[in-house]
Amino acid sequence: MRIIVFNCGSSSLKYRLIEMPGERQLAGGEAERVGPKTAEPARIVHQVGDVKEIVQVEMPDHASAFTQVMRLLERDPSLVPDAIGHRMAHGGPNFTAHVVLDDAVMAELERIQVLAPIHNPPAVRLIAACRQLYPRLPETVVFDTVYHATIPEVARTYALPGALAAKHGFRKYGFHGTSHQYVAQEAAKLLDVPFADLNAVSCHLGSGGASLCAIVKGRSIDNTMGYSPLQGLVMSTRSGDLDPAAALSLLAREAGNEKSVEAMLNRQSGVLGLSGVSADIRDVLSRLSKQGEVSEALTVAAQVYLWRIRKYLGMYLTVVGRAHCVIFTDTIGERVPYARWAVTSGMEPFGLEMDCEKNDQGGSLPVDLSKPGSRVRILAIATNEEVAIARFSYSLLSATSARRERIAS
Amino acid sequence: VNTLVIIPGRRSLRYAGFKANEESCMGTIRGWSWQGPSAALEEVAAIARATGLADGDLRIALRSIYGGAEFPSPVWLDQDNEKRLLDLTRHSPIHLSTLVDVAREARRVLPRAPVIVAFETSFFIDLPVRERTYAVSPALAQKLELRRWGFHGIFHSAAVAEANRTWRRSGQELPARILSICLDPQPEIAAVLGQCPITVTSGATPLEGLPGETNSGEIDPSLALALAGEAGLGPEGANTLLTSESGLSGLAGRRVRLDEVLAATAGDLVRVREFLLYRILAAAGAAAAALGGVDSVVFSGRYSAVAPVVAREILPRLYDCGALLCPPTHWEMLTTPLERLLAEIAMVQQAPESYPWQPMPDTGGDFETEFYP
Repeated sequence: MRIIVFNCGSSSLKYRLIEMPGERQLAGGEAERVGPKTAEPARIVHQVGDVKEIVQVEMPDHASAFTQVMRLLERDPSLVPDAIGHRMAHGGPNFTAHVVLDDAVMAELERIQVLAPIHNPPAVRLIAACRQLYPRLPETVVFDTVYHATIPEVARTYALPGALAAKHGFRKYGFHGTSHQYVAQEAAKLLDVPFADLNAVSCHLGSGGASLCAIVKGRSIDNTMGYSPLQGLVMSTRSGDLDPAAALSLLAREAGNEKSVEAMLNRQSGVLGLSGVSADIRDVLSRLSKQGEVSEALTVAAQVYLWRIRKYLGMYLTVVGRAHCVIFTDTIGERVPYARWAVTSGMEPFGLEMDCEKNDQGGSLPVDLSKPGSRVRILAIATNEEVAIARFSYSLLSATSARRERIAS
Repeated sequence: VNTLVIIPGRRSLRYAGFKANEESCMGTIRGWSWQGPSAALEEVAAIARATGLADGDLRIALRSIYGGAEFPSPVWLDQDNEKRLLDLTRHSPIHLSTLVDVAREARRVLPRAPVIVAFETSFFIDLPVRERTYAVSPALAQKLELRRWGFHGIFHSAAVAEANRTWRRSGQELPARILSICLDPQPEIAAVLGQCPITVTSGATPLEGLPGETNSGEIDPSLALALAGEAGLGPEGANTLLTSESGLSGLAGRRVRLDEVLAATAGDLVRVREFLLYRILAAAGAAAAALGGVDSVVFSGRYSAVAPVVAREILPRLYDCGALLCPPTHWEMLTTPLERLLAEIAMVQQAPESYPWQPMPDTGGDFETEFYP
């Protein structure tokens, strides 16, 4: 079965065509600058095997981007997908499992768009376009929040009046679940531990968003993100944790303009806000490492970013108890040895002993970066959300197909 | 030296008198704020006179929740310091203007007694930059005068001194890595290296951090905005809800005390207790990571009597993951009440020889914009 996985950004559409169950990537790429015209033309970077091509084409919305991607694939009959898997950031309170798309699912997806106003609406529009243009293709929806459906009440509850919280759905949802689950499964394989027995802390440190996940017996028991992706770690442009009184004070100063405050905290804060020069912590660390460049803002940005990760790492190692491993993943977690070192150094009491030489060398992933005697293993594992989505989609569609066959027989 | 400690709160005013180290009176005046401070302070002064406190060298000690960078240590409240204090009222309009009003009334009813103010934030004045900085632009942080503080510095400071004494007695030379857990209506955890705090659960205000009896503690900042917007409360309404109607009482659906929650073994409070213990465990883990392991644990606060409950539930888990380096049964408890700690501060300070003090005009706190409770 060939499954095309779509990961929809606000102005981009990433796709990967994967043959399942072999998990072989057949094609992939990204439609860039989807939406209103910008200074540079919209384009699709399309890759089949080692051959990359760039196609300039107008894509005023995600539906047209989808159409163009499908056209590129349909040039080769062996690249025509059999099914579509969609990534959805927020599943709200009712999607506690990934689903095969139908009318009821679509209606619920439209209803919960407000919970993730930046991430969900473009994905929902894409799904609508797929249904309209390719009604015969089965579709699945894989939610970032589903893995965190197991977070217990003590961790998902905010200390608010119960009735009010229930009425508005004010609770922790957690995000990056697909990635956390994928790398945790890979870690279990690496350590030869059954996934259902794995205790771990997963550090998804992306160049944009970032979160930590506490995992007990293969299940998520806590995540640093909360009701929204704003809570928790310092991210590229998101503040992470902030005193709620300060958020309200800011709101009062902005004359109650929530959008403006949300924009400040989501798009102008974090590493960008602190450093004033870049939203990418790699730029900050690399400029600091250069001789002669001394900047207080860069130093503070690096310290605050790393310190927050370290504190949450300690928090989650404590609530997990006897952890098998700490997993670093995504852009920063996989490629920035200094970040891994900074947040684990001096954490020997927690059982973390890094082999610094191995850490500096990097090498191919997955890799165990801990010293032989380290009680808790320190792993770097490449995340692959597309493969994870393809796995879930394949499993869902195979089960559906088997059910149909049973009914027919 | 005699000391009269006065702690004005939102609902009640607590007072305690000490003749040298001996407690001579202690009490609470409820509903005092309705009548203003004059009546309450006259009542306190009458008690001070009746118990002989006012006969000797009397000092009056007040506690301020907030002193900012302006007050790194206790100060005798002269005209200059009063002005400096009033300059800070934008951070805590109700608390600081009430404090100054109480100080003036104290001076009026007991004119010969100098007034000293101790600040909860002083202990946290040198929190490391990495800890005290929020990840917003420096311009915004400056505009909001935003940084992280701790708000139980008087308890932490005394508790840590106790822990350090024990640590040194055991022959250790390196500074102790101390986990200081203050069990007050708004609980707070600090990680302290020797005498220096390096992390604390509270934030720019006492609202952030652990959940308290009526305050929510840490929440997603988006949620604060959603309460103001989607839930229709507006910024002030959301602030009131988060500070006065949430926390353990919000979860329980009725007004509860922290010690009542922690002591619960059956009934509806068990769920709230589990929630609170999880938050304390998580915060303790973060503090342990900041310290790189914990040598010593010390409890303090109004509800230090329930410290055994917290110790029993939390410390074995810290020990199990390796973060706690001493046996989980080895912990200390500072049972000294805040009133006595304040009296001790007043007693050791050199009193001013002359004390010219003219009250400033009315403080006129802006009650509509209380964002910093």
